[in-house]
Amino acid sequence: MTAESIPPQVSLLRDEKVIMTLRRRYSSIFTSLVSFAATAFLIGWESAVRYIAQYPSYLEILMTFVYLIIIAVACLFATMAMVGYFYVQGHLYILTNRRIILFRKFITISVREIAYSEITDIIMNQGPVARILNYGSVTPLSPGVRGAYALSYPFMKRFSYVRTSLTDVNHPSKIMDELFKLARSHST
Amino acid sequence: MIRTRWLPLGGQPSDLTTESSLSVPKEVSIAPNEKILMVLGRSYISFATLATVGLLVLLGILVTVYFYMPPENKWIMLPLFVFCFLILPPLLYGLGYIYVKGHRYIITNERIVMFRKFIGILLRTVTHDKITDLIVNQGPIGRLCNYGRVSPITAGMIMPMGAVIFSISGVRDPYKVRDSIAELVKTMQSEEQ
Repeated sequence: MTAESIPPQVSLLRDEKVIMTLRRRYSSIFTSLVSFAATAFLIGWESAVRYIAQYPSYLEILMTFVYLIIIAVACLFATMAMVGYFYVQGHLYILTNRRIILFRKFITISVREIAYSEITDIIMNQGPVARILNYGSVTPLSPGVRGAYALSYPFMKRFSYVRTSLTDVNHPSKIMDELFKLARSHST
Repeated sequence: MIRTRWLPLGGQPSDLTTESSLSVPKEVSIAPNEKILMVLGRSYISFATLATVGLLVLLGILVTVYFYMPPENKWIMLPLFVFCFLILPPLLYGLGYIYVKGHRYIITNERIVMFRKFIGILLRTVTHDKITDLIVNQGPIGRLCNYGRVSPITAGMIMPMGAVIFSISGVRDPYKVRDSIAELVKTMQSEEQ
C-alpha cells in the first residue's frame, strides 16, 4: 500500500494527492490457471478415456500421445505463469484524495477513473482460495459501470476490455473500508 | 422468532429479538461516527422453501421420465431416486443451514452492508443517499411465514441484478425493514438538500 511511481499515462491534478497505490497479487494468476486446468480436465478426461478405450490395439501409441499432451499442457502452464507475471505487474490501482484510477498496461493500455462522489455501491468478492490467501476484488460501481461487472461468477460476469475493478488486491475488506470512507467524505 | 436487533439512533437497544443477538462479521468494519441500527440474518425457512420446491420439481421430472422410459432401462430409476431423495435432501438442507448462517445484513445510519460468507465472501455496501428505489418481494410461503426480500436499487445496481443477487434476502418483517431504510433514505437525502 505504499506510494509507487505513477505511470506517464496517468496525470494528477495540481492539488491531487496519492493516498495509496495497490497492485494485483501474483498468486491470483495461479488460482486462475489451476481452476482453468481443473475445468478443462473435468470436461476432457471422460471423452479422452472413451476415445482411448475404442482402440485397445493402439494403446501404446495413444499413451505416448497422452504423455505428449501432458508435457504440452505443462509447458503452456509454465509459459502462462511467466506471461502472467508481466500481466500482473501491469496492473496499478491509484487511490488519490479525489478519485480512483484503475490502470492496466499489458500489450494494450486501459485506464478507468472514477470520482468518489460518483460511487453508488462498493462490491467486494473473494473466492475460497482468495479467502485463505487474503486477497480479493473490490468493484466500485457507478451509473456508468453497473452491477453486471461485479458478479463473482465468471460465467455470468459481463466482460469488459477496460479494467472495472481493483482485482485481486491484498486485504480487500480494508480497501473496501477505505473506499467507503473516501466516498463518504466526498458525498455531495 | 424475529432475528432482528434494533438499535435506535443514540438510544438504548430496544430488542425485538427473542433469539441471541447477531454479531457483525470481522470482515465488516464500521466507521468511527457510524452507528449500527440493525443487524439482520437470513431466515432458514426462506432457503428451505427454495430447496423443497427444487426437490419437488426434481420429483416431477423423475416421475415423468419413469413413465416414458422403456421398461428395460427402468432399473436406473432406483439409484436415481435413492440419490435424489435419500442422499441429496440431507446434504441440501445441511449445507443450506450453513449457507443461511453466512448471511448478515447490517443497516447503519449511513449505509447498508450486505454480507455473505459461504465458500467465498461477497460484500456489498451502499450509502442511503444513493438509493433510488426500494423493492420488497414476497412469495406465497414468504407471505405466510412473514419473510421476504428487500432490494435497495441504485443507479449502479439496477434491476434485475440489484433485486436478486445483491439484496437483503429472506429477512423477517420485510416491510418493517423497508420502512426503516426508507426513513433513513429520506433523512439523509433531506439533510443533503
